[in-house]
Amino acid sequence: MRLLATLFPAVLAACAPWERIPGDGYADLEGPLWDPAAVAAADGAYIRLPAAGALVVARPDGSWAPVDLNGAAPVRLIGTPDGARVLAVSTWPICALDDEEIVLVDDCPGEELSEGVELNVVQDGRVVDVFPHRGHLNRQTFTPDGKTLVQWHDGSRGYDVAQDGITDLTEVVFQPLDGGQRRAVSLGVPTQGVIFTQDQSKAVVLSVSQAVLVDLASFEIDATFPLVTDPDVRIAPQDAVLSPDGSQVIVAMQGRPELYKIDLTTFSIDIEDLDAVPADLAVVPDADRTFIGYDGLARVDVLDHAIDELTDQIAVDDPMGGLLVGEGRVVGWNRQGGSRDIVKLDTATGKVTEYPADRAVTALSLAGGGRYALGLLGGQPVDLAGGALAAGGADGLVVVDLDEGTRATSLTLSSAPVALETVSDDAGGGFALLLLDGVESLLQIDLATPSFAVEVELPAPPVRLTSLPDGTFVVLHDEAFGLVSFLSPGATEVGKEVASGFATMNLLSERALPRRGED
Amino acid sequence: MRSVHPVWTILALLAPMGCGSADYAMSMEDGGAYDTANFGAPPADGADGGGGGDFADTGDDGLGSEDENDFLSLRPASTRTYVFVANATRGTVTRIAVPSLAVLTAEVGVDPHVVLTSGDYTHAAVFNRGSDTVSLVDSESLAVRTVAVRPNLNQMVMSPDGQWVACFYDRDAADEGDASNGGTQSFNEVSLVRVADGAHFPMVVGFNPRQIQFTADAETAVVVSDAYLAIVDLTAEVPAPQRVQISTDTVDPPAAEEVLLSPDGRYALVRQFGATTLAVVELATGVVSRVDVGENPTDLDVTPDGSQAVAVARGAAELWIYDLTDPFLTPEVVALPDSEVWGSVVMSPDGTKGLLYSTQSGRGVYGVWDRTAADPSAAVTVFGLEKPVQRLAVSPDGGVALVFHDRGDTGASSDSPLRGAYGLTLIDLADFFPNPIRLPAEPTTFTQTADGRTGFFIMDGEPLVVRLDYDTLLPYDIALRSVPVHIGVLPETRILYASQEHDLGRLSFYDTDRGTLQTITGFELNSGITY
Repeated sequence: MRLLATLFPAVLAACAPWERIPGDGYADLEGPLWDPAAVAAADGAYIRLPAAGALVVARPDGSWAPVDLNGAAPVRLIGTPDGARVLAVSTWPICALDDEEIVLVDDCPGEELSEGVELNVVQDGRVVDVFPHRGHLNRQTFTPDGKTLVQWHDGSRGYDVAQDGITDLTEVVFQPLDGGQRRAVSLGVPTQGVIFTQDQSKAVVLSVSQAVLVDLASFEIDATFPLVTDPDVRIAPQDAVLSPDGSQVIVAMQGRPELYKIDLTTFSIDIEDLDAVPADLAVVPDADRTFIGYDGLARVDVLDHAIDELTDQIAVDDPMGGLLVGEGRVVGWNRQGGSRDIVKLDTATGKVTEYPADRAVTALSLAGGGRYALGLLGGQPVDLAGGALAAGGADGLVVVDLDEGTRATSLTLSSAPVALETVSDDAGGGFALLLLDGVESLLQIDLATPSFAVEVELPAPPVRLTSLPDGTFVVLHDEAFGLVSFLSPGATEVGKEVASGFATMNLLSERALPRRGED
Repeated sequence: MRSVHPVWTILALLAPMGCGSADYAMSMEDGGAYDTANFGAPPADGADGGGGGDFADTGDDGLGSEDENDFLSLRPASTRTYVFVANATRGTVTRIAVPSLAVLTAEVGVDPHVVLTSGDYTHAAVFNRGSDTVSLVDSESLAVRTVAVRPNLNQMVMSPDGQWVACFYDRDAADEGDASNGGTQSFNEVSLVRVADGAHFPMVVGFNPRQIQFTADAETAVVVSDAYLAIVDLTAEVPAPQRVQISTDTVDPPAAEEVLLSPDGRYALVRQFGATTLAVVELATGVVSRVDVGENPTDLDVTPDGSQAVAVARGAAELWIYDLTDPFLTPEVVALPDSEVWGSVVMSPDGTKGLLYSTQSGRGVYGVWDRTAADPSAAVTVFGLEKPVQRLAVSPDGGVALVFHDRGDTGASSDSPLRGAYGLTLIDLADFFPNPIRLPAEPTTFTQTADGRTGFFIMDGEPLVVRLDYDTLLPYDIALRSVPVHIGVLPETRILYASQEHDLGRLSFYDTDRGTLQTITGFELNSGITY
């Protein structure tokens, strides 16, 4: 989304429920009216309107509707794992003066103005629950059942909301979403990540130089695992996975050529020395093994959980710092962008199959239930995780049928991809939608026949792409007043499924102080 | 003076007849019963032979003492269910549970140097050289009681019943870690610690204590020093030494090097370097008598059945064999081939053979003394080796002899494959077929499985363990992640463990039957885990 200082004639927004139109009919607004980083849920795409301080949901039928947050403005949106709900970290203004003359936010003296912070649980376009929230909690995950939100502070990120008073930056907060008491566990050291046991009864909180096992029923600390003996030494977990039997948490540390195996049943730690700093861990439960990829070593190592030892060293031509797990296979690629190879490792036989692309692979994902590998080629590494891609980062696409294909199908793109989204069908097939920079259309690719891409015309240039839980693609366009298109997988044209103009909502209304008179 | 090799920790000998299985895994390292002096009881320390000290003017042949074995610093100690390993640099002791291999550590003192376990397997004792303390560790709970002992000591032994430990300064086991911590320093001391209550009884026993033995009933401790034998009644409320002067020469007595106790605890036999007699001390009375031993006895061992003591009279090229039920009976004397120098003997487990060698002769030979030979005068056969013997051991079943060679080339042929290198010769004792093996570095620790089929050793600075297949005489390298510090075989298994250098602790377990290696690293962290 382009950042614009936009001058809006008030008359253009005459359909909005203006309450207080500025005297001259004009207002200056800084920044975008809407945030294309939409969060998809079952009923549509939820979109923040920063200028209006509002939240809307754009639906696949082309309609849109505001979500009433009781005067609060969404700061950050979080989708729940099941796609049913959206969590909105929201703030609302509070004026300390109890004066009937103070109606608008601007009426309240600055020194008397503060912000309340809360977490709104939104489902089907309305708030179904509200939880207290603290502004420093800027990272989160969910328990495997999706029923509990786990939040902590990531020191590498700023606060969502400025925080007054005393703040425990080392606390981890467990917020049940379906009722239940919010609990906080103070760890004393910054949290790096959280992983859950197989039975979902416990969480392992990985922090700088320590790991803590938390019981999710009592929220008591079951065990504390120091990761160093010298308090002057600080090591930070970088990645963690759970062993197939759930007994161990396997942790890679930043900048350290080793794996820490934290045994949750014997309460012990074992360290595996590696020959390089691990870049990615891929657990293959069926093989009872974890594969370890490196950015700086042309080898994939295998940790055999049956004997709890590193066993095989699989030589590859280039480092494979990115590993993806498919059925019976691990697919590796060089996430540093220095290799053309997509490598399939058969987890049963250890057989290595290389699929060279035309140019260096810069991003890779699996689609079609793991049957297809889909990669971007050329340029710098980019993010394939549904987000916006770096413009100019790549100009090629590669598709590999990992089941039956003998070679990679490389496609040259007319410009750099902006976003890539894939959906899979039950038959093991799938479609990819690819947005290209500066192109007012998108490419729809049937992964079974990647050479025959279909161009789908769009009503406006796209900036971002996501998908709803049912597989419907959501295209967010570069349109100041808001434009979202919905496209069914396999569809070759956008019909009436376009929501537009939602960013004008409450655009020029002066913001009233909400919740006056409430406790 | 006896030549000392501080880093050489292989102790020359065999499977102990009287040792419990828990100690068996270490028996190759600590000398074993055949080469120690305590009949029927586990060896109380590994210091057999050696010594040197001040030469008497009697039978010294100028070659110096035989270098039969050395102390094994930091050697692990085993119980039936746990093995304890001292971690010198980290000030901890590690407990390995068998067979689960679960590992826990406990903090002890500075520079834990020796760890021993009690006969009833309930506790371990750790001598902390850097802090002059003994840590008494409960095997089950790992609770630690710390007892201060006299400063500047470097060795510790334990009584057979595990109720006493004794610390002393052994000059022959000295290394760079023994640096004095300042202040006054005596070289006559023993610190006796009662395990049950941690009571400490310091005492003066004689200059340069060399060896401490306990009677089988653990009621008496005997400390041999250069000129004295100190007898300590452990049943006394306050144990105190009865000092017995071994030699009548009060000006320049021959230095005592070795002591044997008779199985019934009645006598102590003391070997003195350069002497022509053995001192026989009646422990009850302290009366010293003497029996002939030829000329310059350099080794004194007990036969595997515990019935006899065998002294090697190097100067006379003779073996003197004493009946230990009555050492005053006329000994049997076996003449040895006088073409070679013989300074030490190692008995086979069945007692039918003795392997004769010398670490001081500079000759690459060894002899086989066949005790079943019809003609005693032809009982010894001499065999050549690539290099002189540095250490010699025999497998627990007596099937294989292991002869370690130093790097020096004295006594080596010009075309020997072992020239300029450390070496090991495996000898099949059925037909005396040798397999000489060149080694990249100096061996530091040696152990073997109880069934006598497999041996292991590690070398200085080499990140590997060498497995020796006694059936085929072949060596196999087992690569480790880091340099091993010490090794042992878990009790009643064929699983080797190798403790390695790592800041957070590292142990590898090698299953001899499966050929699998499992390594655990970072167990020092485990002691900090709270749950």
